[in-house]
Amino acid sequence: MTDATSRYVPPDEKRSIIENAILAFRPNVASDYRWSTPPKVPKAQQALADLGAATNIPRLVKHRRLIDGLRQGRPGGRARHDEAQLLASTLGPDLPGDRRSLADQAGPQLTEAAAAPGERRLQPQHWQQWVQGTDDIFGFSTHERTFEACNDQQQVPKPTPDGQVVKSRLIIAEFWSDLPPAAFRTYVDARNWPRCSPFWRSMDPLGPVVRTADGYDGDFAETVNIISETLTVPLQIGFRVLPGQSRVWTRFNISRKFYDQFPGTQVDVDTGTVSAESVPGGPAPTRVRATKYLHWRDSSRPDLTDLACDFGWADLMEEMADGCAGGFPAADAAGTPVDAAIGELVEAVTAEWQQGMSDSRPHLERLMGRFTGSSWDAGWINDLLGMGLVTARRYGNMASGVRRFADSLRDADD
Amino acid sequence: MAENDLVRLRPIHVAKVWGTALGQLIDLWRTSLTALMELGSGEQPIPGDQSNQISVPLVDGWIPRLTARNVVGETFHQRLDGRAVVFKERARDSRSVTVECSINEAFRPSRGGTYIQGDTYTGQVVNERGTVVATLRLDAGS
Repeated sequence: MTDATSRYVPPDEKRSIIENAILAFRPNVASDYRWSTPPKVPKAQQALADLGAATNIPRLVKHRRLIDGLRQGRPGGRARHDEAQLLASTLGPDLPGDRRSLADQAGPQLTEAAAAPGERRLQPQHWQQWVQGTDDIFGFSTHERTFEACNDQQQVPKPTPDGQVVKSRLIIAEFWSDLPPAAFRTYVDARNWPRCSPFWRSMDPLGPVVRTADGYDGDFAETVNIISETLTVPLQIGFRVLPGQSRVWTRFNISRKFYDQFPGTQVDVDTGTVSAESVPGGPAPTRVRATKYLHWRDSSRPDLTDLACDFGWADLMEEMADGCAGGFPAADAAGTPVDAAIGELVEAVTAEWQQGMSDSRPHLERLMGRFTGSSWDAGWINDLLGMGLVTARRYGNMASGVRRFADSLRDADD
Repeated sequence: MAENDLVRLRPIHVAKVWGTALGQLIDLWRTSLTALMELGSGEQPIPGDQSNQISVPLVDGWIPRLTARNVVGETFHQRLDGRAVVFKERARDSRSVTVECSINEAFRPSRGGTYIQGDTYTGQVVNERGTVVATLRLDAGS
């Protein structure tokens, strides 16, 4: 048995915990990629204990890493106690009954998902099997149920900055959400990725960031960390929001303007889109999707884009799905310029309005049902009260938004 | 209405009157909510992948001549010549043909830059009569 105290972990340690949860089950990653500082392969029990104890690692990450790890198989059999402890750490706080015994109930489903046919790496069908089998225990949210990552087996032609067309790895991750696209605006904005995922070190502007009518354009040096490697790529980034906020997206390409100034860049294709958009007919109103095309140009060493999905890209999406568990420090809002504050207010009010409509819908549908049903049902008053409650809550949130806006104006005035 | 008439009114009648009024109000509210929700949803059901598949009817047993037009990048607004879009037959039955369309990544635009800027490109697919038979949404460039 391995114990670890539940706690918030800072970004670097968080990354290390997630990496260890992969390395513990895939020791070949440590040996196959000629790292500048080869990583130690941790013991699986310790890796799982650390993963379970980190309070700011989303449940989605914990479950997915656990199943993915178990699918690799490992010598010496499974430490079911550590698995149950990890799962118990992800149960909701207000669940009745013994948390450990609830987690134990998921054991057979865990075994099934780990042994399900298919690739050894966790695939969408394995995740679906897990979610369907344990939803009564964990009560998964829409974004958790619909999460799909990563499909990175497809190779498609993409041009490099010097015009050569090369087969590039296509990585896709996506999930669906009940929230409107505007709710993901902060996370879709590439400038915030370092605060969202610990794999991102920085997004440093290489020149002026030019505001456009619907977003901004700019060149940035994106730096990511994977195990002991630091990879920097100059990116051209366009961030856009459709007027009705039905789509929010970031497009990124290798910056041709700055590519020559970064001779150490190890990829010559790094392009794609991160978006949140309203898509009718899906399992939820909003699809959040990230696509990335990568090509490794350094033929003298193993292709690290093999690892891009597990070490970073899926994590960014998992964090986005959970609203970026690391959070955005309140202090950042204090110095918000007036333009940005106006944008934030509009965004907040619109998001609240759209969310309010979504929240009212079930009450409204029940209310309609009571009046159109075969017999009179006095419960309609509860539905009206329910809608009133949603409205009051949303107005409260909007009032908070207005107050933040007023604070920003005051700060700008000081 | 006389007082006696009032006495004859039963709770069910009152409920019906109020129910109808309330129902109309709810209809009005629901309609406005739906309208607002539709207003806020720019429907984009095509994911914007590297290729799209479309199905078009055969013309006298032949594949119609398809071309792309109004191909524009969603983010950076680069316009692409429709000739950048290539069509490949993927399947056919007696009445229709399934065609895969994608953007030729080696295509060199003659205007707006010498390379295809990485973006999601939207446009229309038209047949030889100029009729729009599908919309496309394709990732291209880097």
